[in-house]
Amino acid sequence: MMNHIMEGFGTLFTLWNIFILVAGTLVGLIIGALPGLTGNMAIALMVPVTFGMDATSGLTLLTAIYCSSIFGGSISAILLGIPGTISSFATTLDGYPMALKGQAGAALGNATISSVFGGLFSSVVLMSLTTVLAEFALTFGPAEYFAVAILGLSCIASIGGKSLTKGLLSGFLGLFIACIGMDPQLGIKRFTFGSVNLLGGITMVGALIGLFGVVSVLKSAEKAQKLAEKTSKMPDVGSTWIGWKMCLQLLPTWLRGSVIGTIVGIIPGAGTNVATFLAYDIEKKISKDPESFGEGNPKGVAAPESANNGVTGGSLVPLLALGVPGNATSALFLSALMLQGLATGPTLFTDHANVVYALFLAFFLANIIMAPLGLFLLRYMKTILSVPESLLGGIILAFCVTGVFSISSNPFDVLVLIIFGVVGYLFYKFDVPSAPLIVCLVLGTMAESNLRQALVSSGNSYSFMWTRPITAAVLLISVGSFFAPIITKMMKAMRKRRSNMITVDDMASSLEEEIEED
Amino acid sequence: MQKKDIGLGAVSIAFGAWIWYMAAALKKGADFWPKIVAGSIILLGLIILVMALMEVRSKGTEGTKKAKGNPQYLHVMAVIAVLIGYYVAFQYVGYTIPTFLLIFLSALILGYRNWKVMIPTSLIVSVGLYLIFTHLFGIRFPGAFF
Repeated sequence: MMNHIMEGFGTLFTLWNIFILVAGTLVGLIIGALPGLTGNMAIALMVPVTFGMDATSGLTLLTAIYCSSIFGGSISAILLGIPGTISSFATTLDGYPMALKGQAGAALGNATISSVFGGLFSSVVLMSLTTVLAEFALTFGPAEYFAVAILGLSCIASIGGKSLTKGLLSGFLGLFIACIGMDPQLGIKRFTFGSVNLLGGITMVGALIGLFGVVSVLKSAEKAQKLAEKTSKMPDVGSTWIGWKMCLQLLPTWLRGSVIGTIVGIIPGAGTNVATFLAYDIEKKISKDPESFGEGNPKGVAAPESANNGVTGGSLVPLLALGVPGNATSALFLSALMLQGLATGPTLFTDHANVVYALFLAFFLANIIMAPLGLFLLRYMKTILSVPESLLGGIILAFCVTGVFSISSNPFDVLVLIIFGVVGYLFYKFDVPSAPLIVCLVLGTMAESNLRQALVSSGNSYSFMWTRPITAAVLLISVGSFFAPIITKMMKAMRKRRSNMITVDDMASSLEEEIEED
Repeated sequence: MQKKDIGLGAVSIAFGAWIWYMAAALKKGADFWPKIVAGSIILLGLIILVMALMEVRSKGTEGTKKAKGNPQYLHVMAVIAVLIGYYVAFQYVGYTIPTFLLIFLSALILGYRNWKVMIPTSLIVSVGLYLIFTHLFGIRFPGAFF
């Protein structure tokens, strides 16, 4: 392993890669901080740019954006009371009250150091756990890979939002879109309607950028009047250093938040939302002074911030080791890896160990760079946050179309982008979540081709599902992963009816609704 | 809310049926997965439709969820129209002029009115992107002009 780490060092440490790391961190911080723009959108916009780079530089750029955009979301959560990203919902609860009390600098400094701690912790876990899991996965055949794909697909129950049926519908639409192109076994055309452009299937990057980038602009367009009238008042930032004494006081909170974030990140479909609210909730429950939460308690900022950056490393574990993206962000990473011609899963570790270890190190370094860069940039955040959303819309669209076109210089991809933008907007209007569509679009071909290969090798018998121990175990876990959120939801509803208590999910959904309104 | 779900359910059933019909014409083996997908979409559409109809029956047609503000669909359609116009124009006219117009018109539709900022921003971003993508990434854009 040490050899591989040194190899990773050698690959990553070039002047160009360090520049990319700093630039990516800066871009992620700014985009994450701007309300309405998400880290996923930033990553989606940058995926085509990585096509022009070598694999290490491209993945370094995405890693830096991923880590810093998650933290960037907390800046507007603290200064404006509007989370820049979904993962910063919980930070608003105590961060904004701190800012209103004149402690904006302390809240921002706290969020920075907490995020760095969470990110570093998850980087270490990512490096150690992924290697072990990938070694184990080397023995996998089509049957096991089919089961792993099903495990990835099982997360749609938890990422599907409020309605399970709509989440599943979105997922199956994703599976249909994955069918477009050539049949993976027989090599015949399916749903191509005589178009040469569809022979290779739907361009995944075009679809993803449409669903993230174009949709965000269409959402802004429907509240255009409100945007024009919107003026935000921001408190002064002041000093952002929280002092060593406070750091020591927050250390146990950071550790708890990081562990929660990393574990939740590894579970496909669980996501940052669950991690941040879980960390916040636990911190509040074990606190000697729970009443101070929501009034500006520094631990109310430290817990969700260490948890949401803890998720970053964890979420890449199943993707890199098994080739299964557990959320939309890792699906974007997968599309970047595919653009580079790299196959995820255990072979990535044997064939391109230097790239993987460079990615691990980039994760670690991005979090370290985030501290000084974040603390420095916070002084100018007032200016950055005053850039109006109405002006940014056109710039985002320009990036979307240029990036998508640049991948294969095919204007058809721009059409795919527009169509998926419209589809994503319709999904939003009909309350259909788009995350299951993305995960299923990515995993569809893997599930189908491995199932059919497994059926061929078992003489068209489905018995491989229960006779092969790993397949049976993974399928059983998939069933559990699919039904667990449904059962939890039902139990929470029953408990709530009994005691009228407010759950973590309630807090998340009420905040989500507030932001939609905004 | 229920009206929307009734529409969603009906469209899903029709879409699933269409996928099934198309899959039935495929060679044996290639139709296996699409038929599973089509069947599931029909079933889910049916569930959404029945649940929405049951809700209508019990609560009436009044919406149960508050509307998300007052959406300005005309602005949304205008942005989509600009994008489609861009898709056609950039294949014939070239990259920079349609991109300038895309940024400028989008900002206009989204309600931004500071001309002194809009025009230079649109110009800098469109020319900047052109230079970065052509010189740094070696991309050749279609169309007659640059």
